[in-house]
Amino acid sequence: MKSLCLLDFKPSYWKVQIGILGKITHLPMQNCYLCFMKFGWQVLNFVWLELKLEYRLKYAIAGLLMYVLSTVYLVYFSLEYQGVRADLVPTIWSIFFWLIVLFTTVNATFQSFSKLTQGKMLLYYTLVSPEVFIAAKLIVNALVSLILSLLTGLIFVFILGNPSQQFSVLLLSLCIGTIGYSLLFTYISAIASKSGGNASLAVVLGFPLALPLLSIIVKLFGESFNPSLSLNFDNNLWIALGFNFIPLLLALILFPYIWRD
Amino acid sequence: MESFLKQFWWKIIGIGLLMFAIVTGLWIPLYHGVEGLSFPNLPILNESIRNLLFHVPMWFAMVFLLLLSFIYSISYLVKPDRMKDNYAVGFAQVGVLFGALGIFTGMVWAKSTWGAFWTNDPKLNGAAIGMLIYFAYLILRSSVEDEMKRGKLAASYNIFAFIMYIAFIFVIPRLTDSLHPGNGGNPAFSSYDLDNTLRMFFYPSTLGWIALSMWISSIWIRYNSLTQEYEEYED
Repeated sequence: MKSLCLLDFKPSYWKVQIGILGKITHLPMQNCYLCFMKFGWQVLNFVWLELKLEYRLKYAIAGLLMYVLSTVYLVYFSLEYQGVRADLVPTIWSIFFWLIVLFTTVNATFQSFSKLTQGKMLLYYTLVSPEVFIAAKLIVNALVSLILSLLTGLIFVFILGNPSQQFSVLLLSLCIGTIGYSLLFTYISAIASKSGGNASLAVVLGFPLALPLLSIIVKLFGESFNPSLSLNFDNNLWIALGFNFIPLLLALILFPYIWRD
Repeated sequence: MESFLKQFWWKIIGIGLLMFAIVTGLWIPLYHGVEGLSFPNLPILNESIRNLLFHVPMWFAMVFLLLLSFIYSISYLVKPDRMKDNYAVGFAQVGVLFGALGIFTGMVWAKSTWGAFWTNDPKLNGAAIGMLIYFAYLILRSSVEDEMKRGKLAASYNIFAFIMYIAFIFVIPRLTDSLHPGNGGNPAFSSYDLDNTLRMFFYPSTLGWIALSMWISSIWIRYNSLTQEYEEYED
């Protein structure tokens, strides 16, 4: 219960305790730049709270890990028993990989909204502004999906082999792609959970919007299978970063409108 | 907007332009060595060049309607009103209809020039993704019962989707080669495909199709809102 008391805001000053330091700071709220700072502090606080909750409810993350493990094993089995695992080409490797990452990200982001009960939401309404809420959700979901997709990559490398010749390019595109998906699907999951739908509604709403980023990320990812980079690698990288930025901005702008019922 | 949609002058002008573009567009001969009014006679296109007056303006009409739907969604979020929601969904639905017509005319054209109904072309993929996005929008609408909630969620998804879609159709053609004019080394409309005679018919036909699409959507929106009122009256 103590962690919830961290978010205790008074109109005249703002008392904040960053969880890990445990130090209470009093910030006056007259200046505008302090308000901006307040936003940052609030987000940080909320992220810390969310991560703590995530740690307490370990079964959710463990369930997602099981999901990843069993899907990878499914891929492994289906390749092994057709006798084609030895000649698994890198392109097929990346297709399997991105499909699993995509579905894991959808599940991870959707469960972060669907586990919010009515009472918990009511508590959040009184504590924070919608911008803080969605910003914290975006950050936490990005972190969680990044960890999950890195683990997926690790398992893939262990079980199916490492086809890449430039591992840093693979890691870079993996991080950008996963963060982009998690930002996109966080907002889509917010819509889907508000509409009372299930994870399949999030898939229906999100996949058409995820296709642009997917087509670029697969291109970037494929470059790690070659010994050297192509000429328009930088260009594609910027486009991919742009597709990370658009959902982020739109989620921050649009979420306050759908927050309250 | 509501009063503009009820006025008659733009509908008459639009239909006139459309009639002009269709009738004369089908009647004017291709260039055959004789001076006079004629369309360019290009090797692969041949007579199918007349499809330019149907296929391309339908896409313009679709993007125009989706833009209107986007604008109504923004204004709905700013100040919720049932009629704005009706406008947003009506424009989106008729936009999807025009997109389907655009795909259909494009497929006929592709069969005669490129040899297949569907090719792996970024513009075709963009069109397909656009259709998927707006089908998802309609599915989202149908999955929510409460009217206020449905309006808000649908409007926010519409804004999100439209911006992503526009970013997509601007960016993706730059990534791969395309068979369409203006991409991947193919000359664009402005260089020689669209000569002056063709342009004389292309612009009126674009305006005409946009006017027709607006007319259809105004009727559709009115029909929908009347149905809504009637259902409430029955209850």
